[in-house]
Amino acid sequence: MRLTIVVDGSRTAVEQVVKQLYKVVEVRKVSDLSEDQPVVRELALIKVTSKPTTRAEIMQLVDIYRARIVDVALGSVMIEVTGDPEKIDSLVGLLKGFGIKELVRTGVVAMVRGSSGKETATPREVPAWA
Amino acid sequence: MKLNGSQMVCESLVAEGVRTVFGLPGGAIMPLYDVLPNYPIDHVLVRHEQGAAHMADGYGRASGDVGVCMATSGPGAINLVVGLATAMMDSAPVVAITANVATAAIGSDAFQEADITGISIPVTKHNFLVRDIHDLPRVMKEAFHLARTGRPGPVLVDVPKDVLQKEAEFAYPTRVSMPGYNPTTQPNMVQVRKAARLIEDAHRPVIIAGHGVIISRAWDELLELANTTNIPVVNTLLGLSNFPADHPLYLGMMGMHGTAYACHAVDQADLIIGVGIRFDDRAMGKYSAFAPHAKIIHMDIDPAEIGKNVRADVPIVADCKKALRAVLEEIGECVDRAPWIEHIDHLRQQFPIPEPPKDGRLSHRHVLRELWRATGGRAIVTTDVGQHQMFAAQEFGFLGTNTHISSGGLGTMGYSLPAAIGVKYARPDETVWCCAGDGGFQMTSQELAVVKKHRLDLKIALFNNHYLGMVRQWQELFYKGNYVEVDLSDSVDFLKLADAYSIPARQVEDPAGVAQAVKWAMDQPGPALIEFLIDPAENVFPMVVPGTALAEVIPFETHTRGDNGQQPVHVQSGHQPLSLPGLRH
Repeated sequence: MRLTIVVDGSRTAVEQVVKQLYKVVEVRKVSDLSEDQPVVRELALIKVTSKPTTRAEIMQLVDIYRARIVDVALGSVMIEVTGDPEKIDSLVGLLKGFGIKELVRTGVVAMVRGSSGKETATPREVPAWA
Repeated sequence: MKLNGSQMVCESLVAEGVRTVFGLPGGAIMPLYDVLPNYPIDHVLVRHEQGAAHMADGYGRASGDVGVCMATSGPGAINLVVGLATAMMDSAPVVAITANVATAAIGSDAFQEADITGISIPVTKHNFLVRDIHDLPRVMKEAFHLARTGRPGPVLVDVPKDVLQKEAEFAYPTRVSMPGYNPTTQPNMVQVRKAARLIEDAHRPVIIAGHGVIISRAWDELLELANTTNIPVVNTLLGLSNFPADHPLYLGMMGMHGTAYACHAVDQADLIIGVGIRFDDRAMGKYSAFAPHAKIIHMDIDPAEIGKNVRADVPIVADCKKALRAVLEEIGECVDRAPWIEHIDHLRQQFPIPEPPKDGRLSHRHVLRELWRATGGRAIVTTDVGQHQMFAAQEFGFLGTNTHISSGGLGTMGYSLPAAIGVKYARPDETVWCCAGDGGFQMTSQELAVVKKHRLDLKIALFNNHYLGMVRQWQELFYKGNYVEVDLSDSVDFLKLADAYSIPARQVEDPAGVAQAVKWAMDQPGPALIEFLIDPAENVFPMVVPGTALAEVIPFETHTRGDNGQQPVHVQSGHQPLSLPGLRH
């Protein structure tokens, strides 16, 4: 099982987080992805009020954001969108004008990109003793 | 071999070499107590589960092996928590076995149900809830392995009642497989070489030796390092008794109430060699001003301690014994340190440990000096937390190894008596002095019942200053003498309390009577208690005031009292205002 954990802190604080995670007996490996510009993705479901007059505009936004409409009802549509947190923030901002009835987000998952030439291929693994 | 869960727990204990467990039965754990008498395990019945946890902790620290405590579900298990936290902070090897309500009832607010694995996550090294009987042997094996290896700590195993009753095939595993748990014990030789070069070249080095030296039994290596390199040794509180106190290179304890010369030596050092320490705030003073001229070598088995509180120029993550051995083999010719040693001797003369008063008031110092004299400095001394703990650290020059047992990190009041009981079970042939203040002692004094029942040859020095003394001292120093809720006078007659448990007891008020009373206690064939009526106004000095650097240590009491330099109304109504001769107003 792999968890993606987002922490905010100084370099030493993050180092301490890594070391403390290693002290959890079930933890096998901790990788600090922050310096490798990893691919970061989050999924959100957004239920937006829609009327016949606004539905087309909402669908246009959904297209631009490469999101999907996964449910349509008389007074609302449900949108599924995937992307980095900024993209989702941005779409949510635009949809607010129509009236958001419900919103749920997964939090991020992240993965380091593959090798491109001399770039390192694997995430910087923090040794247990570091 | 088909066994039920209770039998499996007992078989596991026997396989792990456990001979003594401390506990108290209750509803959920009854299946386990039902079979316990069939095994070669002594059970010590406590009067409160907190006592069981501290006894296991004291047993663990004194023996170097795992101490075991048991409690039933709910309140029983929760009563263990402060003991587990104490063991966690001080890296004591403890396995706690708790029962829980039957698996099907978990989460239903059943009678005496508590989520003890949830509650104890932050105060244990690891814990287990055993839902399947087939996991039980493996879990027991892993629990003991975790408790005693790496940086030791408490491990809790919670077994629901139905799992204790179910039957399954039992075979105790011979090895553990925990891919996520692999403590680094061998030092990195690159770092060892760097450390050796620093040690060879340092002109003003100081070794700070901590609890890790005791846990890894590295006192011989420590002594050899100090002797061969001529480097002075300073202790942290829990490091006490890892280095002979009569050694010319020994500087005593550093920190908030350490010796002033140790604080100055650390402050002026150009190299700090931290061995098995975690650079705790009480020991180091203000971090930003800690050892400003020094490079720092930090040896510890826990990588999370490296760089946590202070920078480490050379980190060595390893078992202290192995790290010291490796460094010793690597070290060559060192620079001449005679001037540094001479300077330190000068510090020692300039800032001696304060003398006890000579005007008839009884000081902690009188008592601890006499205990030292009467035992040749070789007794095992357990302490609680507070003034008497700091005086003991200053005054009792430990000459035996691993003979100082105290609640350092968590500072748990009530630790001393149950810990001393655990110590006595681990090392029955040694003299054990339990030191406690009147505040802490009342938190766990019910365990005197254990002392009585087993006629434990345990001597108790009760320092009664009728106050929560350390809190009173802080109120005097930092709250303008506003003494709030620290007065413990007019509470209990400790002689009658001891008598209620048939423990011989005496009271001493006069410094001249200390020696005779201590001799009397030592001559008793079993337990004995001496209540020392200590000067209520006595304060612990030297002191590094919180937020100041070690260099700013106040060597003895010179402050003016109260906010305007006047003698404040020192105590609550009904008391004589105290006067302290020797204070500069």
